[in-house]
Amino acid sequence: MRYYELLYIVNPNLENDRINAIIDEIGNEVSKFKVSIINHNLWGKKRLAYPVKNNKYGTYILLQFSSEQFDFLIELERSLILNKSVIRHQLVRLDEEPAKIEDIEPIVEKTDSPEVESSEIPDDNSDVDQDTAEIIEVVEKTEVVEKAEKVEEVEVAEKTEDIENVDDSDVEKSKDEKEIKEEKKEKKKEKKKEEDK
Amino acid sequence: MTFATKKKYCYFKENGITFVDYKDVKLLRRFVTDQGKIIPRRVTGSSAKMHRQLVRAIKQSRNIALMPFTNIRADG
Repeated sequence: MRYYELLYIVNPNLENDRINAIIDEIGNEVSKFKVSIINHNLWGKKRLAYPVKNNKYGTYILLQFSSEQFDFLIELERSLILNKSVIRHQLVRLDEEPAKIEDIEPIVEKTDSPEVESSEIPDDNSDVDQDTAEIIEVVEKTEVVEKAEKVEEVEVAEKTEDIENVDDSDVEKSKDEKEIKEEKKEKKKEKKKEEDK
Repeated sequence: MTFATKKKYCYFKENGITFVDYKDVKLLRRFVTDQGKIIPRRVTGSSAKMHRQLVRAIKQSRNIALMPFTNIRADG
């Protein structure tokens, strides 16, 4: 009797029903081969250490089974490779019989899932008041934003004018500077000439 | 002049661990650098027998994306 352990990652974007269907599918696939399944647990959605087939997250499922035969394993691995919803799998032989795991609590990582939002069902009327208050606030904000945008536009216009003015003055300054430099050069030349004399 | 070197002991022997599981990422992280490289036996002080098991476990857990092959800083 040999013990085997198969850990496979399923596409995390699938729904729970679909994942359960895949678990059943693979369970059936394994049990074709005179195999006794010891554990078949869902670990839950976990962040992968590196992206696998462009997936950052993956749903891990652990399957432990025992069998007398071992020639079916190639066939099993082949079926896992062909299964498109299984991103990656790893089959390992165990030295000892694995302990039976009764109920694993699926690991829930911090992700923005819609389930959390749906659990917060508004029961009281106070929520409605809050909602209306929020709407009013939003309206006010939009008004403020519009004002702010107008102000910004005005400012921008002023700035552009300033920039134009600055540009003109800069050009003038640069001209002046050039002239000054030229004058200085001429003066230097004159000085040199005097010194030579 | 002699340097006082601290004697290293096998972590597994001290804690009575006889089998290294590739799914136990928390344990394996101790024997890996920040970059994800396996720390040599001469540094960790683990016994040859357990180090062989450890290396195998780390490589298996890399294959199934539980541990990184390399850890680049930019991944946040």
